[in-house]
Amino acid sequence: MFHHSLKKPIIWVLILISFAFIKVDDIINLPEHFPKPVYDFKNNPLTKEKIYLGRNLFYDPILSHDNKVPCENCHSPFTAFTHVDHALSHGIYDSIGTRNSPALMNLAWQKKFMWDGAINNLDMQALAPISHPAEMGSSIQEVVTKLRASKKYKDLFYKAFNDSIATGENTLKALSQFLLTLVSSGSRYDKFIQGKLKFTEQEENGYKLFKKHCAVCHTEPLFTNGSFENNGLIPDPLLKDSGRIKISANPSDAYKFKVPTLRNIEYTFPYMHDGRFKSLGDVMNHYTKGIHHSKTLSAELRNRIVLTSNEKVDIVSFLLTLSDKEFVFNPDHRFPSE
Amino acid sequence: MLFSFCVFGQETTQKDLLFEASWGGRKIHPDSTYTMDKGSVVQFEILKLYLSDIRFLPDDSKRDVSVTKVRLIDLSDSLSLKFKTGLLKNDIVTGVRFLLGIDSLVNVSGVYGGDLDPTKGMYWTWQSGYINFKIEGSIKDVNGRVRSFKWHIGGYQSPGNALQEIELKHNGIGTLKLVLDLEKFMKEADLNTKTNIMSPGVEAVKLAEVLALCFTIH
Ligand code: HEC
Ligand code: HEC
Repeated sequence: MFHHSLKKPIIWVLILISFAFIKVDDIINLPEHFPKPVYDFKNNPLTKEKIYLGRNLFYDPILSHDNKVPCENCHSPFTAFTHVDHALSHGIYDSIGTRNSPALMNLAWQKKFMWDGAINNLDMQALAPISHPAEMGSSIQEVVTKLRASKKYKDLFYKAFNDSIATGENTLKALSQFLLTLVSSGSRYDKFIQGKLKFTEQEENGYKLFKKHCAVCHTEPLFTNGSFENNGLIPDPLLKDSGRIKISANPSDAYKFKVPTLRNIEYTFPYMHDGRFKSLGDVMNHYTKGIHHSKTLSAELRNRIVLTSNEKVDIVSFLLTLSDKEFVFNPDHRFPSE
Repeated sequence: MLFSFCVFGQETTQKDLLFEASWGGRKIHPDSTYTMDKGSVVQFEILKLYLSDIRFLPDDSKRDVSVTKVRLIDLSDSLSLKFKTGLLKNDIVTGVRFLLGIDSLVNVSGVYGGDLDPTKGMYWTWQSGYINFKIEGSIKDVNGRVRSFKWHIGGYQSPGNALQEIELKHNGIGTLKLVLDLEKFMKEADLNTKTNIMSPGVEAVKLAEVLALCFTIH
């Protein structure tokens, strides 16, 4: 009896919670096997019109000073929104940045942005490339002035915000909305978790080894724990990139970088913050015999990881189950041509 | 709403809060120059600062003490130098309490509009966070050597948390004029070495502490 009376309110609470989720869920897919998102959708409720505006902005070079470099330049939909083939991203007037552009996906679950976590909220992310002299070389003031003068954007802003006059706030909110729709959860791994398919023996073994050696940092289901770690890369003497310490000023953060997701890793080469490795084979060799020992090296990597060459291949075959073709070929993510 | 209107019906003129940057009692203009003790001549080009969470004392919950939550003061924009307090002309004000800058919650909660819109130029781009105040200009010393100074001060995480809480006493009646004494500030600021601070850190915090001591209310 006692149990019975307790259950009812719980059911109501559950119904209410799921209601709150459905609002977001209607527009983007919040996978059941993912945790609760970090992004506060209440501050920027998704609508189709705002997402569409953001999508236009993302593909429009109007956001750059010379009207030539769109966000897409370094974040292409066909490669899970990274800049393939270039170790370091290329921007305005062919300038070369100092870091590899990360793949963009599942950003609603991310706490900090950039390799060193310099950006604390997705809404503020776009200010960095827009203003960076080696990326888009513009400023949010200049961008808003151009958007206000554009007939197309007057119309799109009106539809999205009931106000045809662009502001910095609305421009950034719309960009966030599009970025939030980039949810990748349709890989073979996801289908395996949902019980929809079985892994091969090789993938199964790779998964086991992955959980043993890699998952502390590349934690399921997002394949990152969101923390900053030093995974034993030898610092590049030319780039002199010391990572997280630049933001935190804390010596224990020297050479720590944000643990990247491994979803869609098949498409996002080259690898690491400076794009130093061209293949997953190179990455496996790094973790087994290339670890550079230093004061801030993560504890998990202090003991050598010993893997046979078959085992390395198994891990790679598991990593390939993280490829999400539905994501990469999703027409809703592409250049908006009506 | 209706009720309070009836009660205060006769007294509808409101008290405004005026902001003034001064040099030893004189109002500062961006085009004028100001002379320091040792004969150096100072010119200010930019003065922009955020005041937030402004409360008038005594902190009486019955009266509407809420000024707009955040105000951006910009010396080059006269409209920004005067704002409504929600107080009536005869209300007694014994003091004012406010923050110089933007608190950490706002700093981590995404994008805002109005005075907090990033187009106002008071947000860092390469690293998240509002700039609590900007002071830029130049100093010409007695030998004619000109140096510029540029302070963009902010930061919301310790040890670089530059936010300052300020409380000032007022004699109760009359107008409310918030005065920032830049002569005092320039005397206290380290003009020999630290003339460019544009990122969060302990030096930025020190300068914010210096500026916080240069406000008075009349
Ligand atoms: C010139 C290349 C370039 C352009 C153009 C560019 N980005 Fe990036 N993007 C990068 C690089 C490089 C990084 C990583 C920088 C770092 O860590 O310091 C990055 C990081 C990001 C991140 C953070 C991802 C993460 O996991 O932390 C997001 C989100 C992002 N960019 C969105 C955008 C948007 C939106 C635009 C257009 C307004 C844009 N980018 C334009 C190169 C670029
Ligand atoms: C101690 C935490 C940690 C462990 C354990 C770890 N990694 Fe990483 N991994 C990182 C960090 C941090 C980076 C980014 C480093 C950088 O670019 O500076 C990274 C980067 C990668 C990348 C490149 C991703 C990209 O987008 O560029 C791959 C692939 C990778 N790890 C695979 C693995 C595999 C496989 C294992 C297990 C053998 C593993 N990692 C174990 C922390 C870890």
